[in-house]
Amino acid sequence: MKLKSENAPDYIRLAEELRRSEERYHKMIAEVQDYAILLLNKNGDIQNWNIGAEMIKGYKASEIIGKNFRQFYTAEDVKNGLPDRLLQAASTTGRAAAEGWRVKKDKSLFWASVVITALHDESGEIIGFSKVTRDLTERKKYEDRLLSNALELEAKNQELEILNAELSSFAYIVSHDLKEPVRKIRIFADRQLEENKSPEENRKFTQKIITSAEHMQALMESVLLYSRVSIESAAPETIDLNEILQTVKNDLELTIQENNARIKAEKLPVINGIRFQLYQLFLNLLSNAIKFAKPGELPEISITSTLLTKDLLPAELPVKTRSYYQITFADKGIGFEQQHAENIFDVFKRLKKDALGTGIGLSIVKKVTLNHHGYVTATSEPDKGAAFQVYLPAT
Amino acid sequence: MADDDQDDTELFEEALRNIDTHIEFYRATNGKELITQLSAARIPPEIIFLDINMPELDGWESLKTIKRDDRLKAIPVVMYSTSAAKIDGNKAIKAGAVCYLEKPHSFIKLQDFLEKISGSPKDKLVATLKSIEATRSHNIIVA
Repeated sequence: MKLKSENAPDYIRLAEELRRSEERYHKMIAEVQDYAILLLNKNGDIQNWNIGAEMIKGYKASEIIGKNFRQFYTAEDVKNGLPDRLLQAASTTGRAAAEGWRVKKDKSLFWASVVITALHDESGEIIGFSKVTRDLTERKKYEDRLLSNALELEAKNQELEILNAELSSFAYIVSHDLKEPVRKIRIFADRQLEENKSPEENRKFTQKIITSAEHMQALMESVLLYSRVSIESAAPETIDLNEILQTVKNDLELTIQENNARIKAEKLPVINGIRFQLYQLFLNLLSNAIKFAKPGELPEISITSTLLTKDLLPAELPVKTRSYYQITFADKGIGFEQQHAENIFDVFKRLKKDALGTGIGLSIVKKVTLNHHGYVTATSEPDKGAAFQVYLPAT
Repeated sequence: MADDDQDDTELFEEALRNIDTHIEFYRATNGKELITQLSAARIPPEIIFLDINMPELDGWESLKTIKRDDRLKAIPVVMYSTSAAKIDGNKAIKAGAVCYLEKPHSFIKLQDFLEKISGSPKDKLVATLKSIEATRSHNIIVA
């Protein structure tokens, strides 16, 4: 008893110290500004609120204490059960951390970094959770900006690589394809100057010079057309592809009649695009299909259109976030081996030497699809016809 | 000779005939045809001229096929193309051709060239081609 009475002031002092320490502790939490530090009960109902929480989320303590913490989550997250899953995870593992968009009082979003920790009583029963939230919106924005800059840089790089490849392929064209007819004109003109040539032989040389000059002209026109398709960009407009097809059919009327070509087309979609480019696409695919009919057979071409949702798109498509129309141009002509299906789109690639073609038509087709954020693929087998699948974004 | 350009093969054959009517000349219009002809030939040719841009099997692939074939790999190959690109010339030598020849702009030049090689003794043929290769113009700007 003596001892006790002697120590009584100590108890009082200790109790006072404890009370002060607890108060300091509460104040510390209450006044932390950078973190929302909350206490949740077992159901996730909010038990306390600090200045940080008010600053980050916008509610005053009186407005929010007693409400469930679910209201900080987006409707979609709530629907997907994210808040419950986080509590569940904290219950089982002691702690759950997450980053994501959360909702403020004014319904605006902020990027939150959240740690939820389970609180236990002496017997180990869960009595609630502590939840510490930090607003990392600025960091998130910065990261997103970095990412989008990086993506933009990568896209620019790819664009440059394509331009470089085009430039070197153009240099090759000049060094080879455009030189060839000039060389022939020179060599046959030279031969006309040889002595003792009969008039027939000289006529033959003249004819060869004319053919070479014509070929040269066709090549130059194709190169110009290709560069026009590459460089010239008109503002996209709403285009009815049925109209484009009709215009091309009118312009090809003579060829269609001469070859008795049959063109069967389904109803085609209306898309956003550049008129003269889409005209070139239809013109080249149709005239190719007529040109490469099997000898002795009438050209038969079918044009079909399907709307593909984004999960059905081919891997080559640059953008897969929207739906695309797949427009297929199928013919019953001479076809080609599938191994050539990619390089037929290269500038001046010709699988068959053919005075009619410059080997640039399909390059134009490819360029047009790329300009429209689309793609073109080809499938074929020799003598079994060819099919060109053109992918254009649906509006 | 494998070349899909009929004008070039005709000019080539005519130039050969003007030099020596006894030279046997065979032409293929692409690499695939050439390889078939070479496999069927009882006596392999003494020299092969290969165009680069041909349908079916191009000059590069044909050269590879020839150099892989024990029976054919010793035959000297001349790459014969319109391309003046230096890169093609260097690539040809690297791939095993003895000489890269840009298709000439005059018939006389073609004849001169063919006279030089047809006049060379069989055992000096490769050396002759190598000396022609050594004079290949190096002032070409297209890479």
